[in-house]
Amino acid sequence: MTVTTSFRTRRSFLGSLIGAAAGFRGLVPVDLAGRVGHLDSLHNFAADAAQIHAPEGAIEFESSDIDSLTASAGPKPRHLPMSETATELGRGTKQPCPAEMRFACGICRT
Amino acid sequence: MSSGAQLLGLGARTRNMLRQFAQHISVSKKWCTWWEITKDGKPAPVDYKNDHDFWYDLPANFDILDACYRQWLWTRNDGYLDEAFLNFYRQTVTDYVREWDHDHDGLLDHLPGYGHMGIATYDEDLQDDVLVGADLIAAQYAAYRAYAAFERARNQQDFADQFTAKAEALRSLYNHKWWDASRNRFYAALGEDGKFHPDLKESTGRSDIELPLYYGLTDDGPKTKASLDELEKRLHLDEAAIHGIIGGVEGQTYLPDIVYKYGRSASGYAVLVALMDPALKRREYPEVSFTVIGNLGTGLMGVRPSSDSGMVETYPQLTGETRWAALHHVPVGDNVISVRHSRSGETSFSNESGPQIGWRASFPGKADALFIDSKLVAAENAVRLGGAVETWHAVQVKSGETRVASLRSGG
Repeated sequence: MTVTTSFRTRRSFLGSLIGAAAGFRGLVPVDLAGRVGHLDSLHNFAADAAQIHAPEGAIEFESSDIDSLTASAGPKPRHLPMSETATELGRGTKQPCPAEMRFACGICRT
Repeated sequence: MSSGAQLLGLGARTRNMLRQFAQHISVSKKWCTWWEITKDGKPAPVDYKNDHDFWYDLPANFDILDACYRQWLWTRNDGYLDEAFLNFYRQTVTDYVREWDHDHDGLLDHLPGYGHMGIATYDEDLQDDVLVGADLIAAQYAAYRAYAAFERARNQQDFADQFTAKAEALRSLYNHKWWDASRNRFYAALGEDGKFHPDLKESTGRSDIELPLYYGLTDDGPKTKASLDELEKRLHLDEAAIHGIIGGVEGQTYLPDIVYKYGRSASGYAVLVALMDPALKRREYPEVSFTVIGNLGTGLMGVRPSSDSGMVETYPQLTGETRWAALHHVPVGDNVISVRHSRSGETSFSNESGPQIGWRASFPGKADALFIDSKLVAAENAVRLGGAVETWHAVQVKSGETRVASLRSGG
């Protein structure tokens, strides 16, 4: 196992606490009833899940230097919903929620 | 990183996952839990054959306990104190330690022949070289402190005192016996022969430097400074090399947590910008986005729940690049809050919803007084981790109310 993998494993473990930040293959929550997803090919599920399922009224960050701070390609509104930050960092563009994610997450099923 | 999820409103999902890990601790796995869990609620087969053959890095149980505590502070959800979680906490700090501490010195060991079961560090490329890794002691220290805090919250003062003492014993051990004065740095690990090896192969991940800082194991003063300087030195080298990032992007995502924690705001900002750079290799890994979001909140904005229930701290770490910054709709316990900082030394705090909440308004630097809603009040001073002096005053903020703290009149 490479060092990189070791870190990813570590992150997946703690991290995948979706928060503790799942590098590797993202352990993600299935639903609130108690299941956990481990999606081999979807590293960035967590980021996408945050974007797709960010609840109404999700946090927003704004600052005088938002453009240089976020640094993503293209112009950015000064007032940036965090959920968009997650997606843009995670994959560069907004993505539809693949079926597997939809199943795994459980939130879309409603 | 769990704070990034919390800020995104994913606290319930975090608790769900932590509960899964907590529920699967077992004596048959030597008090380990599962390393990875599938969407079907089973151990991931890539790293699990049966209860006697599975992958496990020993810092993990401790890491989970510490994460549970931090998320309990953010959410104050008593689900973190239910039987499944409490069993996991207790078994981790008692049975788990006894199971893996073969020489009864209080530290967990990886003995020759153990292979991938019970690796004594997160640096898995050193799995057959390390008896006890520095990151393992650091995680154990954090777990003892977290457990003590949980027991204190449950009015179990004897247990709280017992595990506070255990934590302090680990801290003392590490800061004395593991300090290599000749190199002005800590040893990275005990080798499987039970001796320190200054020439131990260096992991590019450098978790031996990062994690003792991350978990707060290093003594304040020159030893912490030496470790931080080493990290920053590497960070600056990385900036020059662009892609030569410490430990890869996964390792780099620990850096904002660490440098903001110790008040090195400029480095925090630099690494946040680096993590958001579209050219960053593996930028799509989720720890990157969660780290950035979490550290915009807890680092740059300095919003953190206090160990005192119903109290939130703000401590701005804005640098010259940021004249002002604001964070809205932040969930903390039963409240939703907003915070706005300006470089001129003013912070406004809004209790958007929820019960009355305590606000510990803190600023870098030393002053005798602060202005709260334009009225002069006596301030207190303290020394933060990393040695910076702060000036603070605590006030109550009613539901729907906004209060303003400032270093200057009319600020």
